[in-house]
Amino acid sequence: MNWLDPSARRPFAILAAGVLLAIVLVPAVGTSFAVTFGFQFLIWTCLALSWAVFSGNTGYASFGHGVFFGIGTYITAAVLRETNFSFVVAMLVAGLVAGALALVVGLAVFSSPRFAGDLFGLVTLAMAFIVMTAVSNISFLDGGTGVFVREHTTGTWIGSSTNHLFIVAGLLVALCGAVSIAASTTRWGAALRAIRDDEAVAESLGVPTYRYKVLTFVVSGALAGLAGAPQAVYLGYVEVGGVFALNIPLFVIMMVILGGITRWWGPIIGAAVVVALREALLGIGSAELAQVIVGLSLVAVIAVMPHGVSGFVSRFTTKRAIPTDRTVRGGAS
Amino acid sequence: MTMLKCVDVTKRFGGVTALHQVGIEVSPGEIVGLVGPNGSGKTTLLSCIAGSLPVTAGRIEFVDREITRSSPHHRAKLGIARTFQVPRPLDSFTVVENVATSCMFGRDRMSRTAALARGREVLDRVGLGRHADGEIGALTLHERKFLEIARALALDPKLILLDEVLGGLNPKETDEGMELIASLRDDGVAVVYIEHNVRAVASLADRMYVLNRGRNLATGTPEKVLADPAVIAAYLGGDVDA
Repeated sequence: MNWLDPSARRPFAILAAGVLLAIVLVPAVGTSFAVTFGFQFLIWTCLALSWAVFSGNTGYASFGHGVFFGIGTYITAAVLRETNFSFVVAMLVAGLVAGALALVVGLAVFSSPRFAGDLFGLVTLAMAFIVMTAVSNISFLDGGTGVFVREHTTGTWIGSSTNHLFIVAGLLVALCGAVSIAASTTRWGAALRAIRDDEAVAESLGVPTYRYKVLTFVVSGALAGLAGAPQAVYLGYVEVGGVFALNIPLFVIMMVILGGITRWWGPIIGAAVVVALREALLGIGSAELAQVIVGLSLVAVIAVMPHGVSGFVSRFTTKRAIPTDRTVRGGAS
Repeated sequence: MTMLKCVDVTKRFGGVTALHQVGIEVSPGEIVGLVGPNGSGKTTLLSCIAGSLPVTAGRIEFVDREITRSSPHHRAKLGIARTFQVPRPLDSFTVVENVATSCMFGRDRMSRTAALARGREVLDRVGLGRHADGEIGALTLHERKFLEIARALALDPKLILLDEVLGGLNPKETDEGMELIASLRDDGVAVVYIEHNVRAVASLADRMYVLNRGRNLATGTPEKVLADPAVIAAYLGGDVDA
């Protein structure tokens, strides 16, 4: 595996072991509340990891990540309602459609240097509104009434137990985590970070920046689309206002900032903190108060740890943009 | 044989014409000096050749291939390397990783391990070997300028575009730099070299092009060009900067 850095083996092993442990243990010993809570955590983790793969590595902050997630949710609902295909097929279609949407948006947006800066964020926000409006008006997807998924999944493997949803979400986290690790240890990752540092320089060194940006945006969108599939089954009833809620991408961004992007696992920590904090605060009664406290804690974290939790931890170790075998690198600084 | 050929290259920024039907030709192994008063379009021409600025009109050929509309990364892979006037290192990369990036994405598409090893060799050549594992923030201006050269060299280029790589350096560093540039000729690499210090350019260049207000003013051997009354008038009549 010459394309894969030897230093990536350990993270892959930890990721695989962690996910395996979770999908075996949690459904077996956890209460139904724990499994549901765990499921939500895993879905948010997928979103945070997949957002960071593109936006964290390239520095292009996308406010449209919720759209890919939402499209995945709706496509899954539509496939399960309109066809007899299994959940796995519906999930793959959801990932493909979300990836295709990202491809179209990416090809258009990145072809113009005009959108190189902050305008990219605004374009992704505009995309969110356009897609939301489109979905509410396409009767195949929604048409304004919402879609019941539950009646199409009862009696199937996926619809019969939250445990099964948890397992699917766990596998998706493994996939998103593997992609994140790859993006921090391969040629691909070096290209993305060169783009983040200085796009013109990256080009001058031979990095095909347009291709890398578009492809990574597609991967990021497709992963979010996949995560939409178990979400559709979990919700049981999908409607535009909830699925495309703008606080979804905002929460995702918050998780990644909180966890930091210095290490691939930063977004996982961020997701854990935000989900746990929200749940704990919801327990005391007020949802609005919970939002305020989550926001304030974000400000506090940024003040103390400007590079998030993972950056804070990494201050005590080394960081490498192109990590490689220690024996080759010799004495690291 | 001509390696690089710019024919009637014109570049306009809105209503401002930065380059007007400029032509230059460069042969393999040749050091070509590009001089001219401030604002004469030297860096603009370099950016047009490197592809970071699209030309408004005209034609650019490199090794018998038209590259007028090619992307910068494509030109880098064909063998055109450039440095930036104000050094632009990749800040989150170490010194050797900056150089290795060229090896990974340039003509050779090396693996990371091979690229880092090659990066060290190139750093040794420009005298930055001991900084290989250091962070960018620790480098002086002189070291950053030489890192620009190292990154360009690591592309294994056929043509290297140098934009004021010696500007702001002390006499000793300037001598080191000139030696390095002269050594490129021995490798058979063609060099297009912009410098404010006309004397430094004249002592290195095989041929020189003088630009003035975005137009070709003169070309020829350094002796011939520097004795040209039109060149003297352009320098003395415009901003005196050399």
